[in-house]
Amino acid sequence: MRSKTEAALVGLNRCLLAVLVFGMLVISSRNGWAATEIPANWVVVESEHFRVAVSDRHRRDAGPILEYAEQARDRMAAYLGEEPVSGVTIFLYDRATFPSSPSSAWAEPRSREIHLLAPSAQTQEDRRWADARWYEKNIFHEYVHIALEPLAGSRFQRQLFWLNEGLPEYLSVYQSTPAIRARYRHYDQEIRDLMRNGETAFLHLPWTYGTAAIFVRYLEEEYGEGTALALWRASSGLMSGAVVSILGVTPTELEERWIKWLDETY
Amino acid sequence: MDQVAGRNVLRAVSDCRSRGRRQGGRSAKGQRLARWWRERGYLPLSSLMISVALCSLVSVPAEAVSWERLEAGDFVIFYAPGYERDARLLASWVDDTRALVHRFLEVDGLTTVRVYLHPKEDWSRSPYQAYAQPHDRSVHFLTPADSPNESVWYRKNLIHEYGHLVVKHRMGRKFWGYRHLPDWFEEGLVEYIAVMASDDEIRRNYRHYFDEMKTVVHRGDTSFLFRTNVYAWGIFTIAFFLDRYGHQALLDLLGSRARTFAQAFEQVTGLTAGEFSGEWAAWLPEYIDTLDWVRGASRQ
Repeated sequence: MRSKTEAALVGLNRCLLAVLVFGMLVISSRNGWAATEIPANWVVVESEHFRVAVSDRHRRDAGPILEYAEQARDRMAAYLGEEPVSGVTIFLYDRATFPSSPSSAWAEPRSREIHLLAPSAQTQEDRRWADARWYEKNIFHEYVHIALEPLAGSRFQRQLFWLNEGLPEYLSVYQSTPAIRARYRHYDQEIRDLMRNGETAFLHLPWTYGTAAIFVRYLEEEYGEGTALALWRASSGLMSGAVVSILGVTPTELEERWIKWLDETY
Repeated sequence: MDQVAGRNVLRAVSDCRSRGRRQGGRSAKGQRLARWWRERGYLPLSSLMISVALCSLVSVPAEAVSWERLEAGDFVIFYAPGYERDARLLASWVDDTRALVHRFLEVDGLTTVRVYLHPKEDWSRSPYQAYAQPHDRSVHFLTPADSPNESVWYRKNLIHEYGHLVVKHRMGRKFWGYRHLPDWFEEGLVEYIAVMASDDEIRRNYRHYFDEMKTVVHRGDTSFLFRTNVYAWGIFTIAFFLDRYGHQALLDLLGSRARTFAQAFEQVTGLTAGEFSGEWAAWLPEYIDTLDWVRGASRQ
């Protein structure tokens, strides 16, 4: 028979062990590589904070993609004011294994993965639009999704297209390079068309990547850098209240000012 | 000599082309027609013809399926061999669907609508999606036997997708010519017909719209900036429109000759979009509070 003290010590020891294991799991999930199955005939190329998994015949694509990813991480660190997540895996598919249309790129933020067709797997025709700038912009866009994932104040922020897609699109278009901004200047035309048709009030405004990016641009330029991020992080998830406390205006006033800003800017 | 003759022929052809360009290549009557057409802001006839040609190409169903057909009233249901039971299920709803939508939108006409029930191997979209193609008056579903959706989902979405066709038929050239419909109206109106104006069984299955809007009211996030589900928000925006302005105003909106939807909307409501949003936000809490969802839009 063990004494009560001995039993208590054993219990304490087990608790400490459980805490240690849990802590290791948390740390590994934050900094380690995502546990993604990479096909056997693929190669993995790593940089300081990323790795690219790519089929052997497209391995030469890994270099530029890793470069875009590291630049995206630097820009994200500057915007956040803190170190963003690492351990992101970028999957570059060949045409035969790509599970979606060639036009799409997507992120799986929880497992820290970005998926897209390898640049050299694009057809000649598709390369006219899926060019180097498209890849540079979309690597940044998808990385922002991953970096923002642990910072979301609640599930409600993720349901708002203009915030969930607008903030990554704003950063990847308007806070990246002049070449990317020029490449996406059709967003300006899109908003001008809506202005001409009187469709910029929140009731009628269609939220697309372009309109959402421009709305976030408005927030960042008029209410200060980091405003959209503050809305994203608002822990209550009560968005009207968050707009009042962070921007100092009601949603109705925000709408009036947005329309006025559009008139002055476009 | 032959070369000279050849050059003369070329010059003659060139002169004809120049004259054609100078005179617009049309008779005086043709020019009047063209001017009349342009003054009304219609698309150039050539664009229209090219669009029609392209649409007719696009509308050809996938050759991978050898379609069989079942005629049911004004509907023709196309299905893959072995799926006749699915076709008969859809056929059993078409009369009610047509009656409901036509009564709500006060529309006659629109004959021969094609419904395609695609087998799994011919369907690249999510099984939870259905879509309408107004240019060839067709509606497309994953065939029920290959789908996880229940029959009430199909019944509701047959009304919804058919509603798109009827709305666009009613708007006619306004839709095809220049008018873009905002999401809340385009999706909200047909979802309103399919859910709020249909029957108890459908409303019971779509109670999540009501619950979602209750949460919106509870949270105080009634600005359209915080719109998430366009179907739920659209239904309740249409409900407000009907409650405040009446059914005739909806028909006036659809029939308006204003250049844009926003202009037509202001003419019918007398409010800007911002003012309308404010009134909607003030109206919604009491409406949600008093609405018996399953019994339907008893206040309409």
